[in-house]
Amino acid sequence: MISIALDGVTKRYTKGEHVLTPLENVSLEIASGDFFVLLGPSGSGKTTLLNLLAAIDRPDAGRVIVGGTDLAKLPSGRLASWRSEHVGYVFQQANLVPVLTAYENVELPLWLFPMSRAERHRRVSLALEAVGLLERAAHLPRQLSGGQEQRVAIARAIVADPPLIVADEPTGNLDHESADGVLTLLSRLNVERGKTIVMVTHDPRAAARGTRRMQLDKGQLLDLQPAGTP
Amino acid sequence: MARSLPLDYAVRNLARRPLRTVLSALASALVAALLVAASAFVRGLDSTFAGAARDDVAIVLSSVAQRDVLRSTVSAGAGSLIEADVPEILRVGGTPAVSSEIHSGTNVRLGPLSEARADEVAHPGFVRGVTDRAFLVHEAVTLIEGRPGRTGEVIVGRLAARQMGVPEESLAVGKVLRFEGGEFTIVGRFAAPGTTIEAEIWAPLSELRGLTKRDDSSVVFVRVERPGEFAGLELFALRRLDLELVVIPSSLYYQELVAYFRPIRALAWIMAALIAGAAVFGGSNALNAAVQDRLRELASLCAVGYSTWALARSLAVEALLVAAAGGVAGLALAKVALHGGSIRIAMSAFRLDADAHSVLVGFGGVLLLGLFGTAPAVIRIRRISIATALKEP
Ligand SMILES: Nc1ncnc2c1ncn2[C@@H]1O[C@H](COP(=O)(O)OP(=O)(O)OP(=O)(O)O)[C@@H](O)[C@H]1O
Ligand SMILES: [Mg+2]
Repeated sequence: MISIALDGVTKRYTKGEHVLTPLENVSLEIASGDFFVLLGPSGSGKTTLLNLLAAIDRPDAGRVIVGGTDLAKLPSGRLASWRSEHVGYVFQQANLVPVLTAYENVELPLWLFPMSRAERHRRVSLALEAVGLLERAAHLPRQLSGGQEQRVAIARAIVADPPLIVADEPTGNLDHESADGVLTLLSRLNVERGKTIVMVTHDPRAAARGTRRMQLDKGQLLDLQPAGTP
Repeated sequence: MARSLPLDYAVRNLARRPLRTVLSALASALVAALLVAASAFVRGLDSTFAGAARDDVAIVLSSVAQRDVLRSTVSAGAGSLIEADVPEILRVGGTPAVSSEIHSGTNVRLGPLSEARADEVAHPGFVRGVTDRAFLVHEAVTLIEGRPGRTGEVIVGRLAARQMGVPEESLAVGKVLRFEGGEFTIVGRFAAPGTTIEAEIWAPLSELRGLTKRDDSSVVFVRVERPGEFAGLELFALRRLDLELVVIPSSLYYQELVAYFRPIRALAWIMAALIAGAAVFGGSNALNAAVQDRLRELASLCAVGYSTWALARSLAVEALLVAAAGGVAGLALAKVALHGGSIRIAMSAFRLDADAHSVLVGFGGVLLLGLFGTAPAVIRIRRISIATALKEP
């Protein structure tokens, strides 16, 4: 269980004289157990915002508080282990390690915890089963389809049982059926396990799965009506 | 180690760019072999002279010879004059440890004259004319086979064959050698570990004088009772200016020889260092390129929760695996290449051995250099901006 608060967050990129501000004084609260959907045009700063939540980037101004921890106050040496304990990140690209099998890719986050081999095996199998790829465990990423790679990446994000899952267009590369499978999995993690989920998507069908939706545009967040309300 | 990437990751990364890995391993092999060779060479050089130097032995030679034993001539009587005049001389069973000697670089031919062929080759050898007293002064010399020589006989050092570039068996006991117009039967072989003497042929002094038509000696070796007690000897040389003698403690003499060879010694290290430098440069470039290739992957590992130190460690393991594999090959190469090899310098020779010390220098050196070459890539990994690297193509 984990809640999120963004408080006056600004993120700027400077390229020469050109200053780009994908996030400008953005404030946002995501309650524990929310399935939060972030929409917005390409280049509006969605990935940038996810990176701030996942503690892989820092804002230029404002505070990012995740699970009560002000990320700016975490010493940089602690950030990596904070990430391993709190966040599962599904990237826009699958980003699997090409020399490791699907199984080993999913196992990667578990090496960061003191855990027996048997326990790792149990968890990896569960995660692969959840994404329907148990029988592909021994395959290398290049032997998998793009959609399968993405599902392995999801298994990797959930295997260590983090309270927060951030997903950057997790269904972007999937066909309808696989996409539905992934979205159902995320919904179940949200409903049954109480995971807080922040998902970026362009797909209205995916967006419909969320409990809250917001649109990011020109540095600002706009609340969209919750699904089902007139 | 906790929070480290699995070893499998490092191992399999080696197969990602096989050519790069093989070339890096070959470079480490070359460097390891060179380090072993350089270290064996330098150690051989040093111990050759170090072994001969003794605190209680001085060399008396002609003051006009500029310390070159081959050019030095000392009157034949000098030895007995010194014995009679210098009280500090060591006596063993009443015999003074004073050894008049002729040192000569000469051409040595194999076999008796009766079997000589028209196309026979002469081998440059180092012959020392000695009396039995030589054994009192040169304590390192011990017979390992046979007996001391009498007229018409010689004993040979165990490195002499190599120094002359002839097969071991042609200098075996019972074989015949010819030099300076005389014919000699080998009756003994001696060892003198770590000294240049091991490469010499020892002949009877009086016979050598006769054959070379000289009535003098090259040098007189004098051993005193207590180390460094050469004042009496030096006083003798000063009083007998007519003899034109100069006294040099053997430790000083060999120090000067070592100094003479210092540039060669330095050259060996410089060569090894240059090749090692090139290899480190190449290796660190390869590692840097590997990091560049894997930037997005490394960033995703960071996002999963691995620290940049963990990534750097894994990369170092990769580098060390390559360095170690190359190092082992290099050691094998050095062992084969050096085995039985010897280096000839001036009038002497020493054996090149891939001994424990040089193996340690070679293997340890290549591992250290491997780590060293990882440094730029480690710095690069430490500076990764995860968010930016995740956007890499
Ligand atoms: N490291 C960076 N340096 C400079 N500009 C950047 C950097 N990262 C992102 N940007 C810029 O910030 C803006 C927001 O980028 P971001 O990746 O967050 O967009 P996005 O909403 O995720 O877009 P998409 O839907 O295409 O993935 C873009 O204009 C992008 O060019
Ligand atoms: Mg994006």
